[in-house]
Amino acid sequence: MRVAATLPPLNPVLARELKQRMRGRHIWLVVTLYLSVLALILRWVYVAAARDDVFGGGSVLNATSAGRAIFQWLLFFMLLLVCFIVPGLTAAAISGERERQTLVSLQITLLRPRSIVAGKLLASLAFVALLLVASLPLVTIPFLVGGVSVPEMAGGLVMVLATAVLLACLALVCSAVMRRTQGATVLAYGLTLALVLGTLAVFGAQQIPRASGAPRPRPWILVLNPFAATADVVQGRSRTLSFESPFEPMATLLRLSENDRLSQVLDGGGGFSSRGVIVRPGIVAVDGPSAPGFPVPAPPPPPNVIVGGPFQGQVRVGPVSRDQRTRLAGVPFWLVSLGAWLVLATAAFTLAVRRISLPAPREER
Amino acid sequence: MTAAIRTVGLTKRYGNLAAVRDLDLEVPEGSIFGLIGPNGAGKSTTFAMVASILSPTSGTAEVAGCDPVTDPRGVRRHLGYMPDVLGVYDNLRVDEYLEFFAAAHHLPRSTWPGLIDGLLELVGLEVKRDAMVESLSRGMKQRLALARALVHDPDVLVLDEPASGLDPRARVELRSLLAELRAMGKTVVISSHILTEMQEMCTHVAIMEAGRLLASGDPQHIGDRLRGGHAVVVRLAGGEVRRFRVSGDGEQQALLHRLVVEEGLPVVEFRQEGTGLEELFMEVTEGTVQ
Repeated sequence: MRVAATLPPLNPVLARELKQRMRGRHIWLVVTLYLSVLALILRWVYVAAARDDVFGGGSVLNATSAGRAIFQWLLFFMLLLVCFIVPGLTAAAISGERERQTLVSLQITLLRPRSIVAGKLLASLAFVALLLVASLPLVTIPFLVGGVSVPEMAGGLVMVLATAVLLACLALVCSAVMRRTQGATVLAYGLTLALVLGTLAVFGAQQIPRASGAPRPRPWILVLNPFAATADVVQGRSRTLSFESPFEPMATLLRLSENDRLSQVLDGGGGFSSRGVIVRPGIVAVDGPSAPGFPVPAPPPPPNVIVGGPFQGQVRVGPVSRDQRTRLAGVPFWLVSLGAWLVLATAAFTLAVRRISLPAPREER
Repeated sequence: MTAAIRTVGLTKRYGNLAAVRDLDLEVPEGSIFGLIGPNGAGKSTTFAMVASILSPTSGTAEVAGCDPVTDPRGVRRHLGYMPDVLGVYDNLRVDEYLEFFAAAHHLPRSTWPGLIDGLLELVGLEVKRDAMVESLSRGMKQRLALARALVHDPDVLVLDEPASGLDPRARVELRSLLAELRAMGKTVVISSHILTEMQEMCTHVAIMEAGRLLASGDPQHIGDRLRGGHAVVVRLAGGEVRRFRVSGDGEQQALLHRLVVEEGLPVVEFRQEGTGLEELFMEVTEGTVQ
């Protein structure tokens, strides 16, 4: 008996899409381009690390730092490429059938609308999964260098996949709502842009009306941002990074209000200005040498904060412990993010299903 | 005779525009039913409502006892629908195309090979089994679309403009295919604005214009009813032609024949004149398409 015959039947739409996509002319091109970009990034970070002699006489910590940097840059670009590829890949899913005038024939079969939408979604995600699997050999290179744990890497890849699910669901609903693929594609990229840049703009705008010293707004809006959530997953445990991480600016944003708390702790301890800001993990910038009490005797270290000697307006503090990672309403930021994405993706999926359910009040032509 | 499709007061409005108004239609089981009308008469809209694609503004339809609005899946089990546009997929072979629709109708995988062989033979595409769908000619795509509509062995087939864009040979083939389907016990409903074709194919016709049903029945019957009889042409030797109007029951025509012979006229031709649909169509439609 053939193996295929013993397996439960695949969603017919998924099976057909896989066949069609794999026979398409551009699929090998997309995979090749994707891997080329990632390989270039890897080479670039690796060469930079080698130039800084982190592998030679340097410490093990330096080498692991390079490993982390390679991993984070790869992850960053995987996320970026997913943001570029998924909307374009999915936006034609339903509108394309409409344009080819195959949709009605599909709708009047016994397939339920949710099976049709699910088949389309899975076909897009299967392609993303192919990209992720194809990039595994590259992504595992940091293991050779060290500095990245398996759960950390798995966490990062899960965030990329979750981002792909969210973007695919949004692109699907665009495809179901818009008549033409062109419109659906524009709308899908628009929504992606709104998630990536729009949320940042809103978060920035939220900072403006804040009175000096007042508590900063919590980064609720950033839960929708794939880069913020991924930064939260991979950045929290980073402390030995001598290379810049691409997720660092985002991680810094997430910690803005934590920074306020931290500087207040410092303030209470040693008379520093309360304007301290964590510029990167482990470094807090305060107002400068003219701040009252400079130089100061080391204040009694508050929990999780070790204050080192002050120098040029900077105070070294100990690592931000895992407990101090961003939480919203007591829940880890990345978990809130995944929850929000799930709600958004489910809503988009449901809307797409409703949009292609028949009989409809209007005929689609 | 029971009805394969029945509509009662079926109406579809888009704002002020009525695409279909108050349509009462009955398609007898086992018939080849032609829906005739000019473009924009509401034929496709009627089909879309019957095939559970479009919800009516008012009125009801019934296909093999199932209501397309409340039981669309029931309708889809009994009805094969071929839209007037031929959409096909790229990068798919003919057999894979049919396999996909077999899967979409939840037919068990083990039945696919036999089913697809049968369908391809029926529509005469056996040799194209491994061809890519997009490489087929228009006529072949049309036959493939018909095979697709037949994949789940429906009792009722609704074909929207199946002959449009076909060359004469393909039309002849389509006609014999429809006859074959009828012989298999299926009810076939087709729409067209090409009247002569319908006359040759259909056992019943309905004429629509501007969303309204103007007449329905068998072609001969409609003609007689509308005109109160039909014309008989008598051509005499020497080229003289006389026309007589007789009622539809045949008695008057027989009487006329007897009289002509008794008169000893030099008859070279005695024939019933056009119950042609073309003529009928021009007679009943007023050209008031919306």
